[in-house]
Amino acid sequence: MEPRSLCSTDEELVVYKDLTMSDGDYDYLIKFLALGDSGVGKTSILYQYTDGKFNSRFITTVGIDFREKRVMYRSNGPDGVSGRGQRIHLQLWDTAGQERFRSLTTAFFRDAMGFLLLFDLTNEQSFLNVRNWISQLQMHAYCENPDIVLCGNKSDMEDQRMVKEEEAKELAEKYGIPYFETSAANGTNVTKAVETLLDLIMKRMERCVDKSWIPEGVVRSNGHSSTEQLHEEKDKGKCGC
Amino acid sequence: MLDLSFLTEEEYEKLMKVLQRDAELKKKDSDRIRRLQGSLKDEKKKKFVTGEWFNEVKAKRFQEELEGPDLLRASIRKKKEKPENEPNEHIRQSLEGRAASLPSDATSPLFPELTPDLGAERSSTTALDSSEEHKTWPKPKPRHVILPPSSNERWSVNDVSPGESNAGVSTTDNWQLSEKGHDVPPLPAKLSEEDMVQSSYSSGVEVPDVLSGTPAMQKAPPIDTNIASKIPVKRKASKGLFRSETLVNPTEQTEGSHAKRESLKSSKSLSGEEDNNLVLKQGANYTIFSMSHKDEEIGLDHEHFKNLRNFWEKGADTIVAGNVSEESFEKPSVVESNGRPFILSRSLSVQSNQSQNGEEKSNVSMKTRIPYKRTVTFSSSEDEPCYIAHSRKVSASSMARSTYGKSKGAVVARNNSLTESNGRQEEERKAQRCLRRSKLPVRVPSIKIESPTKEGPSSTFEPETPADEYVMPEESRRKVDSLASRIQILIEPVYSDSDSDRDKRSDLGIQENMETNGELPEAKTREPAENLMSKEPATEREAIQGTDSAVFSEEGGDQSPVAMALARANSINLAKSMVNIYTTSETYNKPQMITHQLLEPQRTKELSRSSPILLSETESDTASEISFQFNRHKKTPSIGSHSSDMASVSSVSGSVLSVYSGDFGSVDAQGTVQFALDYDEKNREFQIYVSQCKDLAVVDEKKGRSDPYVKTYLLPDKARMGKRKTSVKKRTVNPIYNEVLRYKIEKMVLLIQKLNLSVWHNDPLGRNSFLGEIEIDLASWDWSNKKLNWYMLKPRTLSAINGVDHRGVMNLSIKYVPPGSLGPKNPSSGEVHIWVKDSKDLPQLRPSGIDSFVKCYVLPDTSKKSYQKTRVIKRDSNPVFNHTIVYDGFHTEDLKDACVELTVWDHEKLTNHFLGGIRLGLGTGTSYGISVDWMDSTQEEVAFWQEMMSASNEWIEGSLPLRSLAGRRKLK
Repeated sequence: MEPRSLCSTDEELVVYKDLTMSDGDYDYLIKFLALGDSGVGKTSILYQYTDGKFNSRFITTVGIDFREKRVMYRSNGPDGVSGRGQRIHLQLWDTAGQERFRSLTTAFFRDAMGFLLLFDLTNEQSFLNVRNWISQLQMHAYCENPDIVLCGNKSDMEDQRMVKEEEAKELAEKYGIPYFETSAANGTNVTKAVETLLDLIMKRMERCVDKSWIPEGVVRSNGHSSTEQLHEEKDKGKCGC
Repeated sequence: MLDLSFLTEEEYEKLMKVLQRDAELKKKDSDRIRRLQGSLKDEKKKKFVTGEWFNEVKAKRFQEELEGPDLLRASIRKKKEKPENEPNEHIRQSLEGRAASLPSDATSPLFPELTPDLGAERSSTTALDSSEEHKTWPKPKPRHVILPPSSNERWSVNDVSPGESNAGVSTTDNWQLSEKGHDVPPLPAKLSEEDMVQSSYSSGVEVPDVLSGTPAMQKAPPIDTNIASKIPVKRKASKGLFRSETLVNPTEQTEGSHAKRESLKSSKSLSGEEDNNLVLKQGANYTIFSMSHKDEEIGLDHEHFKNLRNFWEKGADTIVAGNVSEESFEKPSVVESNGRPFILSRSLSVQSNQSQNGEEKSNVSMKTRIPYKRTVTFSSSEDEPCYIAHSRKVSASSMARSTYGKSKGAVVARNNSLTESNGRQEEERKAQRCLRRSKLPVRVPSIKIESPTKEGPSSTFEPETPADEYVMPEESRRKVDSLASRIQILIEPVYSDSDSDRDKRSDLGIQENMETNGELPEAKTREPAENLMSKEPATEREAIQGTDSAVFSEEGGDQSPVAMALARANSINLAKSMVNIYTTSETYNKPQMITHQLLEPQRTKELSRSSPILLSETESDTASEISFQFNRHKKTPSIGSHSSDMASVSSVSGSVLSVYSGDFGSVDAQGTVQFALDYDEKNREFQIYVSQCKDLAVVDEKKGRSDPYVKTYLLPDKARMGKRKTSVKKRTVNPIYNEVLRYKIEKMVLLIQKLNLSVWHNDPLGRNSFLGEIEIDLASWDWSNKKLNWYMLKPRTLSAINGVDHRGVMNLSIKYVPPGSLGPKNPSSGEVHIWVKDSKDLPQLRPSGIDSFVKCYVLPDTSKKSYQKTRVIKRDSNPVFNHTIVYDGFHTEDLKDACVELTVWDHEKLTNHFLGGIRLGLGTGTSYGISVDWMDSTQEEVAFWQEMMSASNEWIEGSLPLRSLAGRRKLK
């Protein structure tokens, strides 16, 4: 994977979040995992998400890494009224896209609650491999239909785009997963993608435990209608929630 | 366990840091959860915030498996340990592994208790996973993959971050924790680890105790006490385990559902006492066998190393590595060796009934031969006697040159060198030789291979040593001297009460079969409790047994060489005992025969007939590989799960044969078939609704008759899922079936398959005739189409016959360096260099990709000396090996009689699947004057070899298509 442009060369990408996160003062620990071909920007997108920074230098991830971030999650009621905010501690696993780490990274799939599946909009092969990655997930994730958000990354490099938005959307639709065109470089849609995934997880969690416990309005939240529908289907018996 | 051999030190450090951070986060989270446990009253909310909801779902899929970080940590640890002190290390590890296997039994009852209603769902996963992805299910077989680390690692985590205590270090813990709301006390755990490392027996005792102390272990105690009481004595230890293995069945049938491993395991504790004695005794007898065998081997191996080290630094490393990682598989082989002789003899009787054994000349050779021949019979494939005889090479150093006749004479008694054990045996013998000569025949400089250490170790060598460790205390392992005498002693009992053992043995055999049955998905009737003792089992079970025997028989071949080795080591006495064992089993002829016929009418018929070699080759290979896997399963003391695998396997191996039987082409395909396809998401089942056929060809022109049935396979690897058949409709060319054929298979796995649906005329007396077929690529199937559709039946296509029609190519260079060609005495003997560069377009048999490696033998030598392999290249259908293998000891004239066999294998955790191979030789059909089946090089291969012979010291480059190999031995 070639570096896209050589500007900043941060010595250390590893900026671990601050003291505020050292306590256990949150309501949920949610684990996500980013996956996709080598060089599509998994590390970058997570870095952008947790730290709001971008490093264009390509540093290949050694096997596995993770970042953390605290967010507030508010489930939206049908009337647009937010419920009580919940403090989420996100553990965002970053995986090596390189083949040689494959057995190592797949071992981590099962511990993640949700997945950011990335491909590179400027690299068609990485898009073609999405299918394989999904297979991998179906095989190695905690259940067969885990929550996935598909991200076409490097949307800032419009001139080099090799994957049409329609194609990607079509694929995402086929798998019934949300799709975003993201840019780790300028931050476009990055937060949105992660939060969409979070939303999916929180909803699944509610379904998994017991619907009756959740106030009516929360369960019938107006999330993505498409994904909502998807859940209905999924619920039919696959993952046992 | 992950293979991390490719990581650099630096990368390790990095990974460890990540893991450290993760451990901290987990600790933090566990603190949080602990606080919540107290304050939160609402159970449901608790599930939310503790993440338990997730763990529960996950546990359905990955019950006992470690979390990624823990697995990684364990793997790192393992790898770091390895180089330090090899000789001790593998012992230690095996001890750990053994100890770990005990708690695994104890732990498992946890699950049925907690999730009684999940059985169905889980089991379907299992069935799939077991064939597909060995990771995902806690069977005993991956014990070395999962369990040792789990006990090992669970505690080791404490080392890493002492405060972590219950932070969900392993899934099991996690679950216990969340379910019960208690912490798992870390302290005793830690203790037990130390014990494990230091002493074998105390560890065994310790671990269950510790576990039973944890809150969720209510079901475990009965087991614990049992085990604990048994373990202090070594013999008993093995018995205890054995018992647990065989006694599974009695309660099994109550479950009804096919793959409830947990219940299996738990049933162990419930099993009757009266069975105990019986089995225990049984176990004892056989224990002796394998024990002594291994003992001998170990001694030799030890010496062996010493002598070889100068020569063979690298090779030796490989071996050690192999041992280490395979330890856990091998050690319980004590258990496994049970029933083998029995099976052998069973097959013997079958054999004689089929009057195929005309060629045996002497008693001795007959005895040895039979198991082997039986193999031939059941797998209907590969090995020919002549081949066997051939493999008897006395010295590897003289390689092809060694006098054939002499070796033959010497080893007449042991001419069954075909099975995997063979390699082992052979090696053992060789080791002996090496002692004398202290010269290593094969040198293996691997040029670009960095560390062959861990690559694919679990598949290839049957490790010699480990099994011993199971039974023997540590010091005794080292002793070589008193060996013979000890063997003698140990062996005594075998024949002295072999008579009284006969019955027991038979029971044992049945039990084993039942065990298999219990897990067999299709097994509908099970009355193990009664049948346990009965010698005339119900027919249905018989049928299964029959299939099993095919599998067993492979093992049988395994045993006899071992016995033979012993016999030689101890001279005549032992040989006698062997005789006894073989003769005892005649009782079984009958069931066996029955089975046989029931199982596969046409198969019985076809056995003696050789089906087209090309065809049978692929499949039988798979079968043998799988049975090898089963072999391992049997050895694991933790029970239960292996059998489902095995059962399905055995049914496959049965059905596989029938694929080829029959006669295609004699009747023109015509007519149509109507069927519908559906994938049942809920049951994860692929369903083929076969409605009817129209206008089928008439097979018997005179009588105007066809008795058609429909059969399906999933290609390319039809052995995987096996076939499904409808009933036979008599005297009609327009049969109406309206039957559903089902495959339990993951959708995504299904999508890389082709459905092969064929129509056959069933002829109970002759060959079944092919009436036509249709192949559907399921990847492009429109799954919304659930309607019945008509399809034209087509003539036979090649792909269906071949299974895998395209095998890819191998790029390689070879060169011959004649003796003295590089100066005086340089080299001192001729050398053949084989540079395995890469392979292209390997066929993909499973969705996760191909993990390929290349095995190399120089035939006729099939010993371990001759055996070399490359590392495993993961997930690549175009793997680059860049591995050079050098064989020395060649004289120029040997090139005419030797054959370099290179085979490419797909490496899975416990099985290797043959992908294709080449044979470089002159293809004359004979070697040193003996006609052999493997001297069958294609024109291309011959040309390649000839070019090498004619151009000394020059690399000859070639790109050869991989093909199926006839007469391939079951070399591991």
